Amino acid sequence: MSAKERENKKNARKLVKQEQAKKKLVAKQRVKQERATQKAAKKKPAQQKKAVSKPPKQQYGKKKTQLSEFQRLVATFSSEEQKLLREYFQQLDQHILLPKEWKLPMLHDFEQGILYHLQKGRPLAETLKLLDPLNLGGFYSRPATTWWPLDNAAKVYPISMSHDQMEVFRLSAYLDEDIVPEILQLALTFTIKRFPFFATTIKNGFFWHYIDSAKRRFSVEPEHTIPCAPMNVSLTGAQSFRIVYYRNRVSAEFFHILTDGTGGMIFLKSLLAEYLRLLGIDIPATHGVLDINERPLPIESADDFAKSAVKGQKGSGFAGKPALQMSGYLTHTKPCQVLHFDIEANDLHQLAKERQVSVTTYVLGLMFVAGKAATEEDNGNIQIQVPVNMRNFYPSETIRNFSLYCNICMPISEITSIDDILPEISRQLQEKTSREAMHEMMNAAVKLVSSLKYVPLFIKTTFGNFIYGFFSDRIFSNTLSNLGVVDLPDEMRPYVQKMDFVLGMSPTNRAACSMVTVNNVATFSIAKATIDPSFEEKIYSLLTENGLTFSVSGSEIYGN
Amino acid sequence: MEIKNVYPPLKRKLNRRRKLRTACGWCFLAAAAACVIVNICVGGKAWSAVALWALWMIWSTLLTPVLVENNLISQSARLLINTCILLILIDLTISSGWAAFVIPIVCYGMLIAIGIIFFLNVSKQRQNMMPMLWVIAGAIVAAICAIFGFSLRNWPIIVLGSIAAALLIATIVILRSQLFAELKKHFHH
Repeated sequence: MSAKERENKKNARKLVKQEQAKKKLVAKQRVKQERATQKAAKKKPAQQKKAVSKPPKQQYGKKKTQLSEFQRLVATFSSEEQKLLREYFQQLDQHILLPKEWKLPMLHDFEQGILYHLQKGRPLAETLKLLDPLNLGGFYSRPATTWWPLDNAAKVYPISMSHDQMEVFRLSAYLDEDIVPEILQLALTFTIKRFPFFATTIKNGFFWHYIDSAKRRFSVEPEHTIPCAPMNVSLTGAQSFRIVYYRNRVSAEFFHILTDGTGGMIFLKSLLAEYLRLLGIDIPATHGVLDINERPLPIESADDFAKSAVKGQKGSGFAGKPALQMSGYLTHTKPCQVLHFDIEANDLHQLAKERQVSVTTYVLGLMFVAGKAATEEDNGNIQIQVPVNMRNFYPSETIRNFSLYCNICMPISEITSIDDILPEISRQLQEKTSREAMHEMMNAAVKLVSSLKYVPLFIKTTFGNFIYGFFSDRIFSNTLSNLGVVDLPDEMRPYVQKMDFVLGMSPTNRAACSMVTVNNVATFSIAKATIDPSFEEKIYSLLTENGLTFSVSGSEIYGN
Repeated sequence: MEIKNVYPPLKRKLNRRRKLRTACGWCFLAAAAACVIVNICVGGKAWSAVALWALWMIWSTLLTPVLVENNLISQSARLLINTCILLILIDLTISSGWAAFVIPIVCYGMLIAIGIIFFLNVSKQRQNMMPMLWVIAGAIVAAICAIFGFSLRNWPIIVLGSIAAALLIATIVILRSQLFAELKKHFHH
């Protein structure tokens, strides 16, 4: 054995003790986290890659000292490389001043990231440059002192949530290759600092809830539960969003208090860009991708409702008559199934253009006809909630909630064929999403919040569910949220196959539809709360009749 | 319609908690109704009020915990309030005369426990301290009422007031401006 090898082995042995203590804490932390969130998965799917957040098996009490894969690799390094690595971890140490329960898992994440790159044959110096601790900024080395009041739209969500019902939505991107969990974890670690109001936990105030900054390791998880499942946000420092991965899909699920679809998409794109950068693909910070090393701007976390509403002006648009619901049994599991229709976007656009309507109008037409097929009622209105991005009307760069909705209403007796109803839908959509109409609604929202501002929170919470059900849920049959065409930087486009957008379910509605278009794939998603397949079958037949090219993917039926 | 499954199989059964909640909910309702009916039929002291509150305590603590801020301090504070109400009900309905003595003892015991949780990890618990401040405020008000003769003055209430005041002073000394920042967050509107 050469002197060099002996020295390397000696160095590696020195690391063992330190590493073992670190791993014990990592394991403890993981078990605690898993128990707390009740999401422990006992067995992983066969195709799923090893989860980054699961520590190696030998950490659970094996007496025999074993070198980790990382340590074994380090032992083979030259002394220069080891010095480089030591300096790297020293720098990392300065950037992560969190309690041990978070710090050690984070260091473990970096080890896994380095290991991944080294195993892929990337030189150490290049790897360390990619995973430069400078990308952490001061985020993990400063105390959590900032907080944000909830924006006007978000205030209702924690008040109206219950144990089985929470306003969660999900944005997913399908990449060209399977996700590397280790790199995704690091991408999140780097990205979250650019979105400080996502790195928060919800708290009770005396009058309203607020979000309080939380400094911790924000984790990615393998996907093992239903989409848009309620989150446990009650623990100290609990995340109000989750990042999950499955095969080639990364999904970001947000509790609606944090952001709306537009803000969520900016986060997901920035996360993906960082993920790709960490894989060695440089993505510029354009087309809605934020530079993660830029300082977060105050306008990005602003409540633009309060800024844009005008006191004393007329406000209207919330109340409405109860709408018809689809007739299928309402399932307890929500959503009980998720479906995605991947449609050729150009064809869909052409079809809408031929009928002189927008894509949203055309899809609404499909939904009205399919909605009629899914109900046995002959009288009443089918009413579809259409969220409206207020950034279209007001100069806003906020990444928080800044959307309202309009209600497209059609008596069931007047729903005959798509071509017959499109003009009426188009008229309503133009009228109800006009700047004036949305301005009135925003005034009403701000006025409502303002009128309740001195009512203690426990009173609001007590009546929250009732009021929410009265104003929001029963007055709609369905929802269509169309995020439109997502603009990606040219460098990113080849790596993203498609995206999808799934809405969480409300208490009464049997379906919630959403749509997003990327790379000429328009993905129309249906989150369902009934097993009755009438709605999606009608959509399928209508799309087929219209000669559109599409494929259907989705989930199993989760339960009834 | 052929659906390509692009979601992983679920690794645990869904809705277990919901099913448990539903089953327990019906059992609790039945038990509550039975208590009230038996109490009315048999007559005598209104012990069913105690039973009802005890059922509510179990329901709200174990089966439907709060959805926001369910941490050790807030759990302790809620447990304290619920326990005090239970003791008051027992005092009012079953055997009276001891609550004014026992409740302050229970309160200062719990206040000490909350204080220990808080001061053991101030940096983490700083964001959870509002329930503790509410309990301290309540204890100080109760002690002041006792001192000025609005309620019974005994040694437990004096101890309670002293412990609450000590905790408040310690919190102010340790947190200083952070305390006011927390208050500002809490009372924003």
